[in-house]
Amino acid sequence: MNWLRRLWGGRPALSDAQRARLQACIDTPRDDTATPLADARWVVVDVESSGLDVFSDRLIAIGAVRVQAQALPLAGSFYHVLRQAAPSSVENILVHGIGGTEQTAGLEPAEALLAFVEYAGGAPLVAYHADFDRAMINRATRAYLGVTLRNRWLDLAQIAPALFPEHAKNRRALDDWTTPLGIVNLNRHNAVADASATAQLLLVLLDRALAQGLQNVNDLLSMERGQRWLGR
Amino acid sequence: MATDPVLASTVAFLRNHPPFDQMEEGLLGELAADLSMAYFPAGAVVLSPDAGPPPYLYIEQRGLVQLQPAEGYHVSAGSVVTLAPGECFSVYALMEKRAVASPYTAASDTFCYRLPVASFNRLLDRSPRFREFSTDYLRSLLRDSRRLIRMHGASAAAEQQAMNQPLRHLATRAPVCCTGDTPLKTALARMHEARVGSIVVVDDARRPIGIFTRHDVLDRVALAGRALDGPISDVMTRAPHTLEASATANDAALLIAQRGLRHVPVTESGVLTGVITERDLFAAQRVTLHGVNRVIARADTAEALAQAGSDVRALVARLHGQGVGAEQLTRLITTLNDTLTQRVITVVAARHDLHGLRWCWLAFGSEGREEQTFSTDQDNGLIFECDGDPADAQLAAAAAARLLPFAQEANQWLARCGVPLCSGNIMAGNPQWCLSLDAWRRQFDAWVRNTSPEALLNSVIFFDFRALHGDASLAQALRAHLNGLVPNNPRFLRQLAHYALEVKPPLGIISDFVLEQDTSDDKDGKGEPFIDLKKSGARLFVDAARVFALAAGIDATHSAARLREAAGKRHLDAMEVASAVDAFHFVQQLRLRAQLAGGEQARASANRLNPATLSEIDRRILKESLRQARRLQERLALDYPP
Repeated sequence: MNWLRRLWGGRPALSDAQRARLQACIDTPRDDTATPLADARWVVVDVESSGLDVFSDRLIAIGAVRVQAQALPLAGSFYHVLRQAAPSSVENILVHGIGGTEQTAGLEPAEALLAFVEYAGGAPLVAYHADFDRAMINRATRAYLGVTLRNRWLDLAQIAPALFPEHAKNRRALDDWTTPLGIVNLNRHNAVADASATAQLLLVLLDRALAQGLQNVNDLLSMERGQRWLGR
Repeated sequence: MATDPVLASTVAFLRNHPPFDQMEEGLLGELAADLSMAYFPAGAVVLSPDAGPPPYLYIEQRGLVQLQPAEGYHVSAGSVVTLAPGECFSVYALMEKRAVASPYTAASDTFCYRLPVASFNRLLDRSPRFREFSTDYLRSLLRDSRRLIRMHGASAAAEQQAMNQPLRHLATRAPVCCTGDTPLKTALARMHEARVGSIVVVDDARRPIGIFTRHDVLDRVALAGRALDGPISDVMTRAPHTLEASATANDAALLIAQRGLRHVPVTESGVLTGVITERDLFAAQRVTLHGVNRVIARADTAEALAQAGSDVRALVARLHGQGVGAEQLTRLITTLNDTLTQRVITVVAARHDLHGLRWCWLAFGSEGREEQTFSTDQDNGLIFECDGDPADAQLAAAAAARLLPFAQEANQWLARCGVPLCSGNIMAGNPQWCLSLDAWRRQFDAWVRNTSPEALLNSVIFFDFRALHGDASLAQALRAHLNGLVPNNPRFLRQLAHYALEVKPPLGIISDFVLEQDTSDDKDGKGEPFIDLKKSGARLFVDAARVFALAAGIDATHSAARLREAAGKRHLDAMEVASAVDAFHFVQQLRLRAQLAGGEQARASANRLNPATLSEIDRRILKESLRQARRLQERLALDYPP
């Protein structure tokens, strides 16, 4: 099954080369969810945006790191600022620290998004409060590439309490989980640093999932879906 | 990506720890790019002896890794070694391309960086600093130990280095903290859960505004009868002393000592990042080579020396666990034990009036050969000389009467330091072995000329003597006397050789092991089969080496040195000697391993090894080592035919 869905209708202005790259992505199948958890690869994502409204706020930057076979390689992280027509508000800049000049000098959005789509490949995507990242990314890819990502998503905000029910009550934010683990994030609200902290949480959760007898990627995704059903 | 924050923060972390702190800038970036991070929950084995040569160099990033005694090992507090963030393991196993000796286990939830073995090797090639660190790891330990011993009390320089570390290296645990409105009950529960002695109270920006320690519970809560649902801010110590993370361990030690504090919050730009305790500082400096040496050099009471003795054992267990080889390890044990013994003698001598006496403390047996292992008893004596006629028995008796109380006390103190009293009473405190130079010469003459089995046994122990403390020229005079005596007594040498050939290597005709079985003290009547690594192992080499050395008038007492020197003088084949020396060290290493495994209680059986418990490779090496012993005996039998 392909992991990008092309949307008919809008026809974004892509170069021939970009179209070819996009097509190559569309032709790549998603990773097999029967892959054992110990071997699986994941792409852990964090986005910075002009605000928290998924319908009106703009995607400013994407950071991502890979996790493979229960390890987080330090090299090969992904980070791009998407070029903005105008900088976001001062309050917003204070949150993520991406200044006005950097925003307007970013990479052309279609190119940045295409690079991310290539980086993600068919791997399941992971984020903390993944619905937000998913919505922001998909709105942008729809607008600039005319596709939506069909990658599977794993929301650590859902799966962490399921694997650690003893902490479910008093841990809500990403920091609530990472701080007790001693995960240091020297650069909070930098998309890569946040993705890296999230990835370290993923390592802990993968270990716990295996200890609880979960076997493959699908087991973990099913557990997360069960958690969503229950609602919190 | 040059500004990749993941790599940048990793480089910043590595920069704080040796050997990376001195590594070439560009290489550090490349190193970071080759790393991956992995997670190990408390209890997980990070690196196991069964896994063969490690696939990675591990660099502890945070958490706690312990070097456990191998399976079945006796566990005592001293034999578990804790690695701090920034420490690498196991450089030894990677350099030697072999498995680690003991498992590395995560004691708390731990993250480690992993450097693949290929990158490790590339780094060895490209970074002189890293290569130096890896190859010189042990050599530098030994060099430091010798230098420190020469300098005695002046070991402050090296110590200084440990105490100049910034606190961010020492206070690495995530601090336990809460806000001022936290109910006392919650705060106490959090302290209890984290098993810490203090909780830091912080404001919204995580700046410390107070501290509350377990110590405060008694007077401020329990005795004051305060309700547990009140806020912690009511009972905390306000505006606590804090230190910035860039302050040094010295600064912390000073503050702790001056103010009588137990816990000091550590901050970065005012924001809480950790807590440093008195114990952290202590642990940071104690069980290191420098620390142990310093403890020894400053110990001046029986209690302090006993503590130093147990520190020595903890350090040796740690080095053994890291895969340090037998030759270096026995040398290290000998060096440290020498230092400890010398310190004991110095301290005890100062308690007695020995004015005007020239004396020298002698070590015999394995201590004399510098081949000590853990289960070695005391074997020592005193040699002295008094002014006037050396043959004057009355003068000598008067001197001995002054020396004996000192020697007896030194024997007792050594026993408290973990060197057991000699069951055969071969000790300086025994009047029989506290003799003038003249009397020792006469005694040696008698043993060489006499042919009784008892005289032979004595010569085996006493002729391996070495000066340990005091006037070494007395020992040299005695050695010169012995070297003049033995080569002219072929009958003695033949007897000594036959004694050395009495015990055969425990190998059968088809070269399988010949095992012993102890049924005497076994309740169900069938004991486990074993090889006695001392009697049927190390002794084969030691006894042969002694004959070669005494026959050639060689001063050395260490068996490996005796064989090497004899190779030059007696036409032994140098290659064959080198193999015999390797074989001897392997047997010694097995002994050491068995002793560390057995712990303190198991001295009696410490030299027993069931070959079935060895790995296939070790079993083969042991067999080959015993074949080397057989070859050495065959060579000896050529010189001294039965």
